[in-house]
Amino acid sequence: MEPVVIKTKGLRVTYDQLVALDSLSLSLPRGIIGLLGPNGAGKSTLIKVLIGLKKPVGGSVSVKGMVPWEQTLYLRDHVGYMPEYDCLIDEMNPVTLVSHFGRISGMEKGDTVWRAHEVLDFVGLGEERYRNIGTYSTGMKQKVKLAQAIVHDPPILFLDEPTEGMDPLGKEEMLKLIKRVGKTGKTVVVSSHQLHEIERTAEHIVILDRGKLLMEGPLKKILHGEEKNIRSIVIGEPDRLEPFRKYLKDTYQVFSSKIIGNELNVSMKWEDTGNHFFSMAVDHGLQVKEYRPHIRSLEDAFFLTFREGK
Amino acid sequence: MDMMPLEYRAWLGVRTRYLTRVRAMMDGVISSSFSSKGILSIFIIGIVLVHAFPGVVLVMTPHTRLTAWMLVGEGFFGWTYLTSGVFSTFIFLLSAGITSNLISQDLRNRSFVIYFSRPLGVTEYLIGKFGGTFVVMSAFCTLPVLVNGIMIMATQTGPDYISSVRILLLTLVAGSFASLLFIPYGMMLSSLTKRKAYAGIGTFMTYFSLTLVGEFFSASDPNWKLLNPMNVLHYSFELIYGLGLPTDISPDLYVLALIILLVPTTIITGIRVKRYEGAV
Ligand SMILES: Nc1ncnc2c1ncn2[C@@H]1O[C@H](COP(=O)(O)OP(=O)(O)OP(=O)(O)O)[C@@H](O)[C@H]1O
Ligand SMILES: [Mg+2]
Repeated sequence: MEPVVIKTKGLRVTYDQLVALDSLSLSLPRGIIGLLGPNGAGKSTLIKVLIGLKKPVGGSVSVKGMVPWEQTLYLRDHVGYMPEYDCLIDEMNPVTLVSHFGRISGMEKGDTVWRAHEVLDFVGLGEERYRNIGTYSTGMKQKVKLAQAIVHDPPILFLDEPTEGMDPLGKEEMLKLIKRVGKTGKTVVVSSHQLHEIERTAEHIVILDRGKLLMEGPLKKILHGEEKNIRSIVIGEPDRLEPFRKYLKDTYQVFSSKIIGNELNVSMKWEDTGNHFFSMAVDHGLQVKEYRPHIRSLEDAFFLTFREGK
Repeated sequence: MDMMPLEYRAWLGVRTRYLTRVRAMMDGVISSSFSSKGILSIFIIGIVLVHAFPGVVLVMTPHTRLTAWMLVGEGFFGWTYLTSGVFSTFIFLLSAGITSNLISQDLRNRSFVIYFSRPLGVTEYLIGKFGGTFVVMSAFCTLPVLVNGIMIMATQTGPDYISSVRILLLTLVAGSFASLLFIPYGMMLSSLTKRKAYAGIGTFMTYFSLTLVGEFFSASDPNWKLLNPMNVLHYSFELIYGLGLPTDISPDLYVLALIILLVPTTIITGIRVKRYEGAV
């Protein structure tokens, strides 16, 4: 078992009357952690609590053994943060900005300039680094935002929607960068709405909804599910397929089902034997053409948990 | 251009102490001030108009030692150095110019969050911004006066070096006071608007209008002169050099004027920035 880097217990955070996070208990290991949830789920709020920008009203938090709102300054030497919205100083160029903020994060003046160039190389900014950020596209700004978060080489990174506003190629590039940073033994918390992005990037998943924890665990476990899932193609008369589909839906947990011509394509939870499934189809006057265990996508897992949660 | 993807590399340096972060904030202000053409022009023109000419005249005039009177009195041929309107006007211009962008920049760009998610509190942020401005102001208000003072000492004919050195030390105090007196008000305006121009012009116009209003009413009661920030500065110079307040000015009101320039302004700036610390 990996050591726990971030731990919360019974965390409760409010904005006046509004409860943004409620009885949230998490244990997050090292590596890339995907933080998922719809708008307003509390992703950004959680990140703010973890770096001591927002104080909770209840519960306990520890980040690398530190309490964010008590050992704030010390903790922040060890974290990098990429906020979700525009926050760069338009009138500066990235070299100046990144080295300036490197110094504020505790780097020697002599180190900051070459290090700024090093991280700007890493995020893939070329000669345009001498131009003011005000002239930059969203994608370029996202890169600079990442650069200022990693300049001081923090062991923990919080990236709030790092691919927001980028084109598909840019997103791809950003995810690759995150993976490369994640490989160096850091803890990287990445929030996103994009399940497929997280699925390809993260090793550990946290799903929030309206301030509550919906699901948490290693990605592999979530994708395979605790239980068995199958995907099957059943063939037969269309007017027999429909009752069979209805039967399955009423009796079992079906993730998706589709009838095209004389084929029923179904993906569902199935804890029984294959033989039982085959005989069930035969009972309905149908044949099983394909039957295999199914690795669900994060999207399946997400929507399933989401429906159960409601 | 197709580049090989670069692997992430670690930085292996040692972290500096927390106070060094304030230095980093100060350096940010200093370098952005001196890289602004506007501020640099005011600075250079000011040095020439305010300091160069009196320096030359004072050095050329026969003298036995450096005296307070040379710096703050009605100097030679009836014109003045530190207590001249030209000096105060340049102090107004320069402090308005530097402070205008100080905080408004972070309001405009919503960049507080990249400061406050780092090991930097609101106090360190404000001290850093203030300190950087103070250094630039000192380069205008203190340094050239000291240089002039040393030149005067170097050409003095009398033996009383002790009293000349004393005046030099008082000049350090006076210059520092002049450097800081107008920063808080400028910082406050800068924390109230996203627009650099509003903050800059607002700061300068405030001083300018107070000067006019103060002078206008001073006919009825000399204490109205305290409304004019230029006079507050000049009286302070006279106090620092040991010449005392003018007899028709109330010391209580003078202290009140100082407090108004320094205290509420600082508090309002603090409250404004504090609002952005976590609520971002
Ligand atoms: N500064 C604030 N003042 C008041 N309410 C806030 C504030 N910030 C967040 N909230 C509320 O807290 C809840 C959680 O917000 P949060 O920004 O953490 O969600 P999120 O998961 O990051 O959403 P998104 O995907 O839209 O970024 C929301 O209901 C939001 O309206
Ligand atoms: Mg968010």
